[in-house]
Amino acid sequence: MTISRSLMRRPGRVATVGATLGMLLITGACGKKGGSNADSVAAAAPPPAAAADTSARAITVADVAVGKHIGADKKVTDESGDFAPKDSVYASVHTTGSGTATVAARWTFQDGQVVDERSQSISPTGDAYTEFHIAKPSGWPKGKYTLHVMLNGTEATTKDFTVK
Amino acid sequence: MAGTDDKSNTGKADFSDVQGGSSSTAPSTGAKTVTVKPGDSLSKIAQRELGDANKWHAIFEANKDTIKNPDLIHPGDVLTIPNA
Repeated sequence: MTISRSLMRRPGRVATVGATLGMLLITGACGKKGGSNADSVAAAAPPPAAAADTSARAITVADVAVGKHIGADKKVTDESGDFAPKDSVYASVHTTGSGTATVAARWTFQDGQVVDERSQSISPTGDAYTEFHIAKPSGWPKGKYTLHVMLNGTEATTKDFTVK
Repeated sequence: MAGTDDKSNTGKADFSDVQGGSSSTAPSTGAKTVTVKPGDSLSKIAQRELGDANKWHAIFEANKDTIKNPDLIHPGDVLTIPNA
């Protein structure tokens, strides 16, 4: 094995290469003796930080999209802030984290009236999409509306849209 | 079935016929709630949420802690919706 001149001029890299070679030699020696202590120790004791991350990441609202249609994956397919009176309005709440949480949607009109309010309890194990939708067969009054998204009773975010 | 304290004669926009729903990619723990709107009745909510007005008694049973009289619910009441 040779070490190039460029590496020779960089003490830091040489030290790294040296350390790597040393590790390889040690690993090889262990393998030749038939022992696999290093491997089994590594498998049995993963880094504590990584274990903590996967077991208890709190659920949070990553983003909210509002539009006229939604896909089977519960994602809005055509995000929009403008609606016609006969449109259905869909909201997709993207959450991350795992555990149990209650996601709620409160839709309000410009005068403060609550148009609709409902909640759903979820138990995700990672990214999840929860959709809420509203429709009004007789047509929405024109004006400004706000969607308030709540997570466990606390407002996480709002989204404004207009019916024209 | 009697309605709620309907205030649709106040000149405000009427949202009593709004239909809504929700679903998730995440497993649900089964607990869904809706908030009573002006003009709502248990049978109206049952029709809207469960697809059958006759299932109003299921909503009543699930909310006996908060509903004392099924003919009298109030806007703002939060009701648990049982699985259909």
